[in-house]
Amino acid sequence: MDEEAFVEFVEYFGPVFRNNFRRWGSTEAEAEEWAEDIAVDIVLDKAHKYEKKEKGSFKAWVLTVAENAWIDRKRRQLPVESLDEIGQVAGEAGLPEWPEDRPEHQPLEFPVDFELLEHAEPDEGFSEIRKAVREAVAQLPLNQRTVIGRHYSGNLSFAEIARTLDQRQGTVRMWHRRAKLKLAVVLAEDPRIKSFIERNQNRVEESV
Amino acid sequence: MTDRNQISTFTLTPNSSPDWLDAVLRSSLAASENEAEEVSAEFRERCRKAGQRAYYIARLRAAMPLLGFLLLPFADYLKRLAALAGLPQIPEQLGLANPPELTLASARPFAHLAKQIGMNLQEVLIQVRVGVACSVQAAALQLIEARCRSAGTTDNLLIECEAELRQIESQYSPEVFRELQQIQQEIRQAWNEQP
Repeated sequence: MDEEAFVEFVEYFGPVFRNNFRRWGSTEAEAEEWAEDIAVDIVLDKAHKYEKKEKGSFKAWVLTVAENAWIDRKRRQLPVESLDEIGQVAGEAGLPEWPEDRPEHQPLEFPVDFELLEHAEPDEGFSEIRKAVREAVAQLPLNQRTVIGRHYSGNLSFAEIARTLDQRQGTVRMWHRRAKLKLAVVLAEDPRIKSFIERNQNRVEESV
Repeated sequence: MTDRNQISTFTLTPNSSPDWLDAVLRSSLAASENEAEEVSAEFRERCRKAGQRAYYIARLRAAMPLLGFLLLPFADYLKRLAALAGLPQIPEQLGLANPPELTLASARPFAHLAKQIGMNLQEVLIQVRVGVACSVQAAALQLIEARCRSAGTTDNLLIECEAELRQIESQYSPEVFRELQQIQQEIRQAWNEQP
């Protein structure tokens, strides 16, 4: 048994887990406590179960194990069992899916060129965007947050997410669509995003 | 060329899936290697100590099957286990005093450690009772050993041991008996906590 290997594992993955947990909506204290616990739990009880042929890179496998552990703990905090129910319960207090007073056939219009965000140079202002996005994601119900995190942060396909969550692919796609709609409604109004776009718009105009 | 007078608008419908949102989510949520630097020095130190604790737990866990159950006070059992695992003493990273002493205040970390190294709750509770019995009555351990000598299997050993302990405990003062019950209660609660 190698003491250095144990220490290196927890020293490396503890901070990575902590940052992921914060991104998924844990408080700082909870993220640090759970990151430490889960890193110790993996190095003691799970790391030896890793099989290279089946599970891809060791790091990706560890991150998935940690994410599942985080979801299990989150589930225990809520008075419901299934992820679908969690979506419904958390959704009541979370972000609005569509403004209640607005008919669905009447689109929302914003006088902002959001397309700029697709090609924006990540300057120092981008950290504000990242913060706005992460705050909005943290307000999503657990099921939607999980899908968004695994799809955009973990680069998993919907089929892979469905398999890891033991859900149908159609359900995962529906959670993703609902989450994106909520995020679009909230982020389109976020002043940090608006000011980033304005700055970049001015920069484009000046360069012309 | 961009027209300064042109106002671009963004239209959102309930079925929208704007590309800009995909781009922003991808760039904002992608795990960045640099982000690990945002972590405080205190948390890094905490992780280093947690890694050491995991290592010591793994060592104790590996020694557990070699030692099996012994009729000893719980704290003495842990010392014996540490020695068998090649550790000169119970490392401070495990969160116990040195030498370890089981009290109501220390019952929780004792229970967490016992669970993590793979001990059995029933055996732990008997060792706790043996410890209290030894502190009250100097010859308690010999009495229990004498009764258990012909027990044979571990299950029988535990049954005989509990019977003898009940007899010894019937002579405790109410204060001692209450404290023993509180320690046992604390251990049971800690056992059912996460992790």
